[in-house]
Amino acid sequence: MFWEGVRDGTPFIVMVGPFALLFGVVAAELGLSLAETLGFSTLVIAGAAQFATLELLDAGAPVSVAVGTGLAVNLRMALYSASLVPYLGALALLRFQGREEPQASRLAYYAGAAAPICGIWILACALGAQAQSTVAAVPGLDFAVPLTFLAMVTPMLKDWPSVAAAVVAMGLAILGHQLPLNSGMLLAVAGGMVTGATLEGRREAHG
Amino acid sequence: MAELAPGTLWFTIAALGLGTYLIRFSFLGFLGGRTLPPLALRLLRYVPVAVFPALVAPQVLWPTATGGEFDAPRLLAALCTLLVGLWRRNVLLALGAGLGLLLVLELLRGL
Repeated sequence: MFWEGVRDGTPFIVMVGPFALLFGVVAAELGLSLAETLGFSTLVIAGAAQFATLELLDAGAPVSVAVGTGLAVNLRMALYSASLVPYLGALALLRFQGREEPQASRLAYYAGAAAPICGIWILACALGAQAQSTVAAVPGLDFAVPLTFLAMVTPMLKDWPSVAAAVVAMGLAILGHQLPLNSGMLLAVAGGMVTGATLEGRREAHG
Repeated sequence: MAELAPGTLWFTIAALGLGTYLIRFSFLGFLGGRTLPPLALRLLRYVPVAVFPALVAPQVLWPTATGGEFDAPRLLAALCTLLVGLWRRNVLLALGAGLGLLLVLELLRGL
C-alpha cells in the first residue's frame, strides 16, 4: 500500500516543486540561513503559512502577529483533519499496535502519498536557497511573494461570498495598514471571514 | 529582513510548526469523528480568501522594494496575475505571467 501511495502522490511534485524553489529563494533573499530555511520546511511543511509568516516578520511585525497569521492560514487544515477521520480513523497516540488491518494499510498508503510530496518540498527549498545568489539579479523577484499569494487566491474566488470576503479583507488591510503592530492585518482577515460567512448564510436562507 | 533578536526566528519556526501540527492532528488525534459547529465551518472556509488579499493589498500599493513608494509596474504585474488566474484558474501560470510582465517592465525601465 505504501508504494501505491507513492505512485499516486508523485504527480503532485509538479505543483509543489516550483513553490518550494520559490520559498528557498525568498527565504535566502531575506537573509535566512540554509538551516533556518530548512527548519521552516521540515517543521512547518505548509508553504502559504511559511510565506505569510516570513513576509510579516520582514515587514517588522511582532512574532505573535506573524505566527498568529501563519496559524490562521493553516486553520483550514482542521477541515482536512476532520475529512481524513473516516479513512484513517481516530489515530490517537499509542493506539497503533491494536490497529485493524484496513486502517493500517490506509495509513501506509497515506504515508506513501505524503513521502514524495514532503521530500520534494524540502529538497526544492534547499535548491532554491542555494540558487538564490544566482537568481538574485533577476529584476522584480522581490515581488514574487505578493504575486504568489494573488495567484493562489484566484482559484478560490469561485462564488460571490468568496469575492466579497476578498474585497472586504483587501479594503480593510489598506485602510488599516498604518495601525500599530500590523494589527490591521488581523482586523482585515476577521472582516473578510465574517463577510463571507454572512453572505453565504444569507444566500442559503433565500436559496 | 527587519533586525530580529537572536533566537526569534527559531522561536517563530517552532511555534508555527507546533501550532500547525496540532491543527493537523486535531480531529485525527483528539476530536475523532466529532463535527465542528456549522458557523465555525462557515467562517473557516473564508480564512484563505481573506488572509491572502489582506497580505497582498498593502504590498501592491506600497511595495517594500521601492521603500513604500507606489510603483506602477508592480500594480500592473499584480493585476496581470489576478486576471490570468481568474481566466485560466492555473496558479503557476498566473504567477509566471505576473513575474514575466514585471521582469519585462523592469528591463524596459532600465533602458
